[in-house]
Amino acid sequence: MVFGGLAMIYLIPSLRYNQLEFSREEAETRTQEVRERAEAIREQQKKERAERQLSEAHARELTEEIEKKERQEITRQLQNVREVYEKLEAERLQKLEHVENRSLAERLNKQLEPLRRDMERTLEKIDDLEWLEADKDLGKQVPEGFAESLQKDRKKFEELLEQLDEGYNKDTLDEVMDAAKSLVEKTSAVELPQNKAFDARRRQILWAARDSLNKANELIDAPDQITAEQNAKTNENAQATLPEPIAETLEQTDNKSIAELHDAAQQLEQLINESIDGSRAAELAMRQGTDIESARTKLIPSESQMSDIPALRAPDTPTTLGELDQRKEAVNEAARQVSQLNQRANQMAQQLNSNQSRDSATMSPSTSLNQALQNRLHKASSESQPGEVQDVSALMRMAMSQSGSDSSGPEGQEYRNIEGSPESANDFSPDSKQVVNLDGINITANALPGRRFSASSSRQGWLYLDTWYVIGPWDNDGDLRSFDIPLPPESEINFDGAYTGKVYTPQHARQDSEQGIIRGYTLNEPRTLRWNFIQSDSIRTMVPDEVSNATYYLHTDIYFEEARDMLIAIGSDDSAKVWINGFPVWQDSGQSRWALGEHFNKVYFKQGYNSILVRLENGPQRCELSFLICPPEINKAY
Amino acid sequence: MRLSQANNNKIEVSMAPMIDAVFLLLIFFLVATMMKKEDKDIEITPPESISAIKKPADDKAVVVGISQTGEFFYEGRPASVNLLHQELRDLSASEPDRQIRLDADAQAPFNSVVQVMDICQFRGLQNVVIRTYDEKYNRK
Repeated sequence: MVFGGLAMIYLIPSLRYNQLEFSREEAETRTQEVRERAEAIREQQKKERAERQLSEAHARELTEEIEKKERQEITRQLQNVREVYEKLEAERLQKLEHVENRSLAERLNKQLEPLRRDMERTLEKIDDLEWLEADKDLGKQVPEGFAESLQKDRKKFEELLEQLDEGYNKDTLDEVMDAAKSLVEKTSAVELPQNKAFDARRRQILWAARDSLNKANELIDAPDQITAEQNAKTNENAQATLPEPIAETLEQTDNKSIAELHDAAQQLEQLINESIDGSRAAELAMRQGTDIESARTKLIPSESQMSDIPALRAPDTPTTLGELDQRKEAVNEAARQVSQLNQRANQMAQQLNSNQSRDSATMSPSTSLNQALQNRLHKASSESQPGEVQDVSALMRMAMSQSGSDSSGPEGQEYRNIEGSPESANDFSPDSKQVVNLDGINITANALPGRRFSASSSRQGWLYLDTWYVIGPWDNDGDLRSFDIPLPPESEINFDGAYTGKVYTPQHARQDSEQGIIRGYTLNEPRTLRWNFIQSDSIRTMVPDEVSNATYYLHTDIYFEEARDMLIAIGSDDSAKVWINGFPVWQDSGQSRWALGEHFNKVYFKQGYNSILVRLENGPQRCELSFLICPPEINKAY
Repeated sequence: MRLSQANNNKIEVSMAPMIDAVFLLLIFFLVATMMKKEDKDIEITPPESISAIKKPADDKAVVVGISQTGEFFYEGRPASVNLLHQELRDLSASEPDRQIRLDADAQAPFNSVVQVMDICQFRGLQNVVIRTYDEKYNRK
């Protein structure tokens, strides 16, 4: 008995152990089987559900319920989009008018040139006329106070001409014209004396004056004609409001189907794209001094990010649960696309506003400071010595304060009180010249990645930016100086956007094939570009999908607990342009190999999130960037 | 002789109506406070883990999903990258300590997982957990 009991005590756990061993070996297979069975059951249930019939009344009720909920949301989003569109359109018209006025001013100046010459001669004659009036004998022939009146008119005319020289203004031009006409009329009214004693020379002078003024009078008509043309154009553009069908759809959404609302959204998107493209073309035209049409040809047009949803157009009421599900998905997809359009439109409007400060072509309050920044970076790219720090921190601080993007406590407030004029901004000089000698080996070994900065951080010294969103390649035709032509990321940072890029050639396909990369592009057709998230494991960030003669953009955000100045060290292969919070801080041109300390800047970061955008131009081969950052006081230790 | 007038009829409180009332109140509060829980889960096969720490389910956790093809979901709804950035930025401003549960498919691109974790880390959202499949736990 005892023996038997002991045997049982030994055997029972052994058997159990064997069972456990068995189950462990089979566990994965059985789990897989169970999963597959569960998946099959799920599929079967789905199929059965999809085929389940619905009564017509019930189906209609359910469809209406689904659509009603989303219709309200889509309507709300579309109203927002409409408001943004109207703002963008107003912005575009303003810029267009600015470009056309400038172009008009150039034409007017050409037309006005002979008028000015004639008027100058005429004005000289008026001096003679004054002398004539002063003459005891001959002066009696001229109405009393006439010369004085002419001199007043002349003074006014000259002042107006000076104003016109400073900048074209339609009102000033009109006043110049009126003053010129007034002078012509008054001078023409002078009765020439029928006195033999009248000096023949004086007579000639007066006749000459009258002739000049008559000529001037003829010339006056030409600018009038141009002005009329311009006014007609401006009026034509000013009437470009929301087309009637879309406006009607947006005003009466209750009786519109989701498909109709989606169509309206697509049309609105197209209008917004046209408006954005128009604004970008106007900005480029202003920068390059060209006309709108030639600027437009240089730009890549915005692309539609919305797509057709065929299931939305199904006219019949769903008869099965499957069809109802499809309809629900289609309605949800429509709502999602409209929501994205709304976000994108808002973002574009914001970007456009910040672009007013990004480049110097617009009339924003910080234009002069931007111009100063542009001048500084051009100067830096051409004149700076190796290791020399370009200090743009003060300019950035002022520009951010003026544009209102810096609301960082007392420091920002301090600079907001500075009354910066264009002249003072241009004359703004760095505090002192600083030269940095980077110990490349030491920094490469010790620099850490980081994007959040606080004074109390234990990590000191140089940090490098390793996390970027990258997009490209666009074709740059081997021109590494073509920063003037903005590509879509300069207008909007839309991580969901898809853009048309460089053509995917067989050579690119071969290179990919050698590296075992499958990109899914179609041969000999432009790539579809999207933002890629990348994290570099070293100081150098290489762009994905690297090809020769191409443009890439890199974007990231960094965070500062407190507003402060920082040193940045940028190295690029080949040329690059860098914006911080929309302000250009650095630019180089031409082919150059990467170097850790290619360029140093002292820049200003506001409190909170700061955005960095880099445009990288690649020449024949290799495309990489390094972006290091360090507090100026810490750098002195290196 | 004065007779005692002791009242032999005891006054009792009947329990039945009180129980009725309590039950009614209980049902009322149950119905009034019952909220339909939003389905935040997406259909994924989570990665397996044998070392994961078992944590009690947090109904308030924000669920960020990543499908097998790398598409993002926020609280069970498809989310674009822009939307994900925006939602997490708003969350970091309002509730930086709120738990974020990352439901990533085992086959999801690792780059997408890193992207979400990077956004959370950059925005100061430290309370991030990853949903995994624990064979041992699920067998019990």
